[in-house]
Amino acid sequence: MDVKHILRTYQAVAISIAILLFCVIALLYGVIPSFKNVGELIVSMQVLEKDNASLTNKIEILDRYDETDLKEKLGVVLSAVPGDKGLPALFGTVEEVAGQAGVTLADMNVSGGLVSTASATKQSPLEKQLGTRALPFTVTVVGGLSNMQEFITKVALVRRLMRIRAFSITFPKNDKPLTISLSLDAFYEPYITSLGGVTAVISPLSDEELSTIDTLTSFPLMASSTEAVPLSPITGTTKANPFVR
Amino acid sequence: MAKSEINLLSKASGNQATVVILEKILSKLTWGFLTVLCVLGVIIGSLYLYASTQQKRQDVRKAQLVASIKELASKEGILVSLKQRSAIAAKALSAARPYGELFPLLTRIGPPEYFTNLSIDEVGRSTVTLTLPSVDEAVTVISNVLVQFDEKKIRSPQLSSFSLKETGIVQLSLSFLANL
Repeated sequence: MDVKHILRTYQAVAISIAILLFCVIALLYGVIPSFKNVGELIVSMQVLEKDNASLTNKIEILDRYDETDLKEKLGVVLSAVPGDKGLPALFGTVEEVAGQAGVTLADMNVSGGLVSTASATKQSPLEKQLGTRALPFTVTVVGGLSNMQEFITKVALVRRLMRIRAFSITFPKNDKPLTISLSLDAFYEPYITSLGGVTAVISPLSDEELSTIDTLTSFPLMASSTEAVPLSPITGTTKANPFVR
Repeated sequence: MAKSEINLLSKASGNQATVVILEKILSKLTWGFLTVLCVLGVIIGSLYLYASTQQKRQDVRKAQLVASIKELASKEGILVSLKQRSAIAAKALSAARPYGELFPLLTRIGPPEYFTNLSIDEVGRSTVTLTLPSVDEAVTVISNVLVQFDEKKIRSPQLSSFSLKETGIVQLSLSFLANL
């Protein structure tokens, strides 16, 4: 009798408390986790949007250029700074410059790890400063003063980039031809073998880069390398493990 | 005639009145909570629908873009190589000094027949040795060097050695950094 009375009296209160409890539980275990999930979903959506904007930008940049034109430009730059020491092209270039300047090439010596891997060669301060590799070599040329002047001027203005490091001239008292020994550096840089991932950011050719390419194009190509140019670097692939059967 | 009221149930006690008030408060709270819960549910549901739809759309777009970039991989490789190598070439060009321009500078210091030796070291410092017939000629050469310095054609000139022979012949050794 008493229980029935209590139940009848507190029935509505009990129902209200049950609904409130349900609400609290729903809030704790339903609404809050869902809110977190939705937040994460929105963040990941924003990341995706950024990625897509970056990819779209990348495609726009790549679409700006004609592949044939880019290949031609790369060919020019590669003839100036080849992927390896390119000794035949280097000898040919120096010989051709000497011929054009009217001096005789008496001797040419190349030093510094002719056959070595990139990692085995220690970088010189100049290489560190320029961020590229330099092949030191010496040249001895014989000729008149004006021809020497022409040789010294021209040797730094050819498509195979090199710089005169040091030289010494002893002027003879009579009309004998001069003999100069020059120390030079020829620049080269190994090819890049892999690109960044698909999402790697690229930028268009800057005015400075285009100006450099134009300058190099204006330089005469004295001797070309016969090496094959890898125009399609590996993209996003890794070397196969040789120990896996 | 007045109506007579007959109430068989006893009047609500004070305890029951409290229950009624509690019921009312709880009822309001329950409705409030349920409303908030429903509103939050609708908001979260809508956001989830929107975000998941957008994400699917972006996923599809990304797949398309990645496919397009893979098709352009060769062009990308060329462009990246070109940029890398042209930067190197620019640095190499800036490192090369036009030493050919040094010869006209020497003729402004003294007549070519007086020069016995010219050497350039790795930092680009030029050292010239001259054999001159008289002290007057030596003075002229030194003043010419100072003129070139004033005209900013050379910097940090140094007279390394000066020797006067019995015959009156002067041997000079000068060094400077040419502004090429």
